[in-house]
Amino acid sequence: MVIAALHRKLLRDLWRLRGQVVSTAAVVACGVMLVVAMYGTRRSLQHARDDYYTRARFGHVFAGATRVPLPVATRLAAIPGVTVVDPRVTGFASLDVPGLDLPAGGRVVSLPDDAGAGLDRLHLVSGRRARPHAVDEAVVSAGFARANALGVGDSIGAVLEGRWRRVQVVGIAIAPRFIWELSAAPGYTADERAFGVLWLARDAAESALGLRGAFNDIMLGLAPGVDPAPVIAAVDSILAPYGGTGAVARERQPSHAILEGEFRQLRVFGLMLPLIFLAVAAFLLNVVLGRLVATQRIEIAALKAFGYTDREVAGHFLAFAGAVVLVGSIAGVALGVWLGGLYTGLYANVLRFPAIAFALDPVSALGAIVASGAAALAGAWVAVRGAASLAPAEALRGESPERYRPLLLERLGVVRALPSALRMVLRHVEHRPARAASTSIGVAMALALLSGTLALFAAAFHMADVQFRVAQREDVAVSFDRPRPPDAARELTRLPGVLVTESFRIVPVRVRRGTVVRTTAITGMPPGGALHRLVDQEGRVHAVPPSGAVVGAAFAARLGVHVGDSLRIELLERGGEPRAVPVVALLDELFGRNIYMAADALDRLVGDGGRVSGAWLRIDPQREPTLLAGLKRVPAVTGASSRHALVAAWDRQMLEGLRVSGTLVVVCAVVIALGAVYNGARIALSERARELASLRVLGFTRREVALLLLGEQGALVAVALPIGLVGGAGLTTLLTRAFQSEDQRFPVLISPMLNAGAALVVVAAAVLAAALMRRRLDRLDLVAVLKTRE
Amino acid sequence: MRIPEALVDRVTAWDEPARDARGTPGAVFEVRGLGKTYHMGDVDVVALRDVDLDVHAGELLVLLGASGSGKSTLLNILGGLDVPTVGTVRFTPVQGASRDLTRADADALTRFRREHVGFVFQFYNLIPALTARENVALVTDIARAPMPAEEALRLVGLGERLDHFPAQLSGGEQQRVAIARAIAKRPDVLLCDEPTGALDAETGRLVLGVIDQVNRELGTATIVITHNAPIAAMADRVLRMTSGRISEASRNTTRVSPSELTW
Repeated sequence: MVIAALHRKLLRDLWRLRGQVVSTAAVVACGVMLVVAMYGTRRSLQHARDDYYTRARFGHVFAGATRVPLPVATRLAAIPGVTVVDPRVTGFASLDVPGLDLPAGGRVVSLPDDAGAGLDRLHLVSGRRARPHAVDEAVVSAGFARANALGVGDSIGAVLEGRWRRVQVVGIAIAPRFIWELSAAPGYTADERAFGVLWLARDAAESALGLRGAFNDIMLGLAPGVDPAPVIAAVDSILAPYGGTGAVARERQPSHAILEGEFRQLRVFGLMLPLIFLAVAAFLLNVVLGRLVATQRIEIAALKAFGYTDREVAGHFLAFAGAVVLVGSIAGVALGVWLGGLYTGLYANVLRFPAIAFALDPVSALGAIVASGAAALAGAWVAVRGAASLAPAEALRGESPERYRPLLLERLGVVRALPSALRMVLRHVEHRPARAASTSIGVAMALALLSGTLALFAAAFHMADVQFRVAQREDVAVSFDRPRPPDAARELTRLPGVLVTESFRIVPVRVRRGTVVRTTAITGMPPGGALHRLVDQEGRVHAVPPSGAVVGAAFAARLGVHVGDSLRIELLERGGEPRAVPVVALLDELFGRNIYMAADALDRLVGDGGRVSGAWLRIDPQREPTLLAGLKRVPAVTGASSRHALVAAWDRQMLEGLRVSGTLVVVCAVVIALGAVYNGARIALSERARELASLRVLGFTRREVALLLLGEQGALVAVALPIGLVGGAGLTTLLTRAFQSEDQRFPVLISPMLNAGAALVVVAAAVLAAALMRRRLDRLDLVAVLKTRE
Repeated sequence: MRIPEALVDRVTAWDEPARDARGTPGAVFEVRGLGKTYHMGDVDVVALRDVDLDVHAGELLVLLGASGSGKSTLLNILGGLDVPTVGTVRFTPVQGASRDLTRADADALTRFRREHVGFVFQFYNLIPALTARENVALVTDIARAPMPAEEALRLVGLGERLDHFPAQLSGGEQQRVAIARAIAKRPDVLLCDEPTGALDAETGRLVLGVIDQVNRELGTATIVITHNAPIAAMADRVLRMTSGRISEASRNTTRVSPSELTW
């Protein structure tokens, strides 16, 4: 039967050209895998979060105050659109965890007596809730518990309002409000050991925090579709007499905001990167299959001579392209599901939703397959059409010697004496520039992807370097339970091992500029301090001006303020009329929406005669353990963070990311480079087998012939390297822009070392492709090749 | 149809005329008991069996035979493109030591081709990306004492077309470039496999004329294989091959000029 024989040919062709089939399918697999893994991870996480928010009844509006009598809650519940109010008491504690060498910071939150009532419900990972009225029972947040190896039944010490007490861990839980467990300390605490949430029974929390019959923290649930803005205004006006610190919508809730930031980055990686990969894959597929079909000219002519129709012939070769895409897609989907599971697992480690499972998103997977398929078929189609349009006899005659011309350089008279071999290579390139360009572009794309994405990791390490080695140079940061007189910091100096102490003040404020309202804090620091300094993206140190405020550049841009403008600031803890602070400098820093002032200028602004919120210490490293243990016994201290631990935690987190994502990017870049070079060389070999065999017959050694073919590919790779690096820089800029947020700036970092490394990886892939080709070249059958006609 | 072995007289090409006896000084190739069997799947195809042959310096030898008679296999083995299954091929250059090609490894065979052998093929095998001059230079670049590429091309009558690309040359011109490329290294032997196979008769005579001229002027031992019997008249010696054996050997008293050949 006609069709069956052609099908058999298809299978045999696939097997015969397996090297090319595999290397091309691998490129497809890479693109599809990334789409499946990244889209799927993002969607799975988003689903998990949305589902969790709904089930745990995450609030819509959040507010804090100094002390609000409980009956006021009913007035809040009466605000139109509000369906649930959940008043709580909350405060900060210093936690003494057995085995932890420093005092951890704790956020104490009360639990409603009725487990089924209220918002932000606990999801117990193990154990149970604290019984109502039980004063010594606590539920501990899961991240903190895990980092400190705390289990149900363990007990820890907690200093609340200056009183040390022992609490027993009865449960380990998570809640939507603390998906990201963050301390109130300045900087980003990545050290999970050092901060945790403690849920106590309402009674116990009220008495421990001295808030009997009152609340200082409230969450509100809104009816679907209700605009939070008027609710926030109403809440603020009700809570104003009670020291209300300003209500925020869910978007500004700290944990949610950070989660959104993560999702944003995932969206960039999840949408942009796979699309770029897919585009590269499609390009390669198009070129490779086009060239592959072009080399089968004679077969196409023969099939036509036997009486196959153009349609059947075209169908046969398109099926070949389709098979490559199919193989790649199946592998891509399988790998994507595996990788998606891995990624989701990594996120699950940090995010701790109650249930995160990777789910394949069929639409995006199908989209990726269709895109690859379309690119492949389009590439094959152009070549098939070209061959099928020839009269059979003409095609069988084979192409007459290709018309070459002297090189442009030679015609211009610039170069005269070139070795013949070099001339051959250059004329091939000049004769078929598109063909040569396809190899170069493929390799350049691989390199651009590699250097462009790895630069992000370099940026992250650079950020840590600037942050921890230039800006935050203190060994230990100590926070006090509340603003204390400057003596409190001076007392720390007396602790054994403390070499230098610099106190700081954190004043929570609300900044208003037009319609933009942000809750943040002003950090007051000593001008000329040596430990904690103002540092920009490049690591340059800036002086703290004696008066006026320094504002983070990204934050300033968001607020629309410039140097010389003044900021309208509301002090959240003291209330009173808004005050104006002149902006004297902008600081292009890496993290946060920060405002800095000289400590005494801040004291004058607040007008309370000077307070400190904590201190930065330089210590004798030999005595760090003793000192940290000592800090646990200082009642005023609610937490201390060690720079070593922060650096270690950051590095661990980054390295884990780098291990997975870096490996992934390297593998994909290698696959693409390998695909471009191997296919380029392989097709060049089939196009020029005769020529190369002739050279062998004329007495050229295998080495010389290999050098000729692979030298050409090498030259194309060499041309690709600078292009790839420029493209990489472009990609870095693009990704950096996409990552930029109000809270985090990614510097565009072009690292020569990293670029050299990326180039080396790509060159290694090219060398591997060359080695594979060399084997094939060595087996070139001289006699057979010479006996066939062109 | 296979000719029964008994019917094919075993003709030994070296022991027939008195002055061609084995061991005569001046033999470039001494071939003894040469055989070649190809294993094609489960079938063994015998391409050459028990061939004895001497090729002398300066002589022009025409090897006649139908397709499949083994003449190309013999030529490929002599040229170091292939190795025999049994037998020996001793090669003695005009200057230099004698060697056994059957014991040479792939690198040694490459060196042998590079230094001593000129090849001319039916389909020219020129490099399309290089001009006539450059195609010849390709070989002179790697040869030990070549003639200038231009001289080689003048020898074949292409002194005026040095900078033309293959696509700009006729078939006969392309074949003459191939001959120039083959002789530019001043080879000890010139091996021509159906050099006129792709050409019309007139152009073919022209190309054979060049081969004849090179043989006379440079004194290069030349072997021309062809299935075209009239060409045999231009040779010093004619060998006919059948079923992998040399079935007939004869010597021409005079060499007919290629321009007088007709087919």
